[in-house]
Amino acid sequence: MDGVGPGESDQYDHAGADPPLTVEALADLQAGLLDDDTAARMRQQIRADPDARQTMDALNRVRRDIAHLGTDAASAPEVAPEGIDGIAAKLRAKRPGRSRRGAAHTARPGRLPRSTRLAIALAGLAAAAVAAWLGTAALISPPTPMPSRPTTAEHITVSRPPMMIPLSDQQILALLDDKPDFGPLADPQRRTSCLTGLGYPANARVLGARPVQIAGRSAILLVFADDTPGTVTALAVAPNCSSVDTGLLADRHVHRP
Amino acid sequence: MGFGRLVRHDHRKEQGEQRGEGRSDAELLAAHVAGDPYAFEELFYRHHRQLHRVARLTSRSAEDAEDALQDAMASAHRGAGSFRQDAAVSSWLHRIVVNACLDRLRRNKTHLTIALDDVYPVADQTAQVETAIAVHRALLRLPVEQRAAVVAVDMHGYSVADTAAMLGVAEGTVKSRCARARARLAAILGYLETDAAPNRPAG
Repeated sequence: MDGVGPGESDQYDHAGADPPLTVEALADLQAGLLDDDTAARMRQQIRADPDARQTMDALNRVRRDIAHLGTDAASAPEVAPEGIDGIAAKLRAKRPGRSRRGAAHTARPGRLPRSTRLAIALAGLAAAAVAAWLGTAALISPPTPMPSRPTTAEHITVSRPPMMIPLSDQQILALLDDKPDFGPLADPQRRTSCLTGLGYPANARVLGARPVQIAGRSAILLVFADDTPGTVTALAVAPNCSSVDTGLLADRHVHRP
Repeated sequence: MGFGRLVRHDHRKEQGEQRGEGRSDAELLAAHVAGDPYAFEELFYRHHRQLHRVARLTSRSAEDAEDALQDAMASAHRGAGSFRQDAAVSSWLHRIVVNACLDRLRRNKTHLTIALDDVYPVADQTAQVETAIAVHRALLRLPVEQRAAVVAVDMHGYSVADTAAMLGVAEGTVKSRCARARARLAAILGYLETDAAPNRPAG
């Protein structure tokens, strides 16, 4: 606890000794750093000390100010357009099927030396001639007879199985009664990061969890209370789910009977 | 040149506002999930100043803040489909930004901040500027570890335990950082400037 220096700790430890009501000591009290006895003694002193009460008010005012700052849009400073445009450009680049000016394919390389350009042109012509010859030869020569082979499973293109949670509604609801098995997300730090990525507060309660396989991929199924009463939401995320990438594979809403 | 960039930026912003006119945050996010190619960018422009401020307050440097904000927006862009409607879209975006910044601080926590790496002139302007701006500037005078702790706990309502987990430090350390930060902010903001202050820290 680096908020309490050794000297201050000694003072707090002496039963009956009054810790000086410095702003630091009051901030420690406010932050919950002091043991119960010391805290109780200090609160009693503060009640009898108008100056200390004023300091506590100042510390509480600081907390209110910080909270207010998070919601106050008007005071947020202007941002240099370079940085914001850079981020917006990267977001734009993530759009599927983008066709915006400035795309990579419109980049014009620097002018090459004349000899290099000539060599590239000759190589292109040679490639075209070879292609024409091969194409003509293929058309005029009779086709080699191919044996007719029955279609086997090996020859059928395997379509990707659907991303479905491989549990029935009953199995998902049964998870609510079991101890959650978070698998690789057992680490609270990783789980918190994942929850934030999913849009849940860091302290959101996970009602149930277990590792599953979805379309041959490992996933962790997380069950949360849904917005709709009597309904839960099951989300299957990647084992390395984080605030940066949740790897969400599938989701389902299940009604609780 | 800088002016030219600014003009283009504002122009695009105006275009975005026209496209997003009348649409709520939630509607923009839903439109993005449904494939609207402009909706997320519009949402970002709508909140960029606040998000940038949160990133800056929770980061060691302006460069770190921009990197974290970029990571966070990429994450939000990808993960929009999993957004739950029980939270406000702006809160969700803020939390993703704070998370990205805390992740970054945790990864780089070997680089201990010894001195104040962001010293901005605050001087005696507190009375002339809005409280929020004064608080913002005062926060920037704190070491980043203290700043990140109070931004997470006091601004975004993270529990001490969650903040500690995300920063990879003990809960007591988070409490201590919050205590130091609040005491110093009270002094910087002039809230202790009375005979009542028993022990004003230099500041």
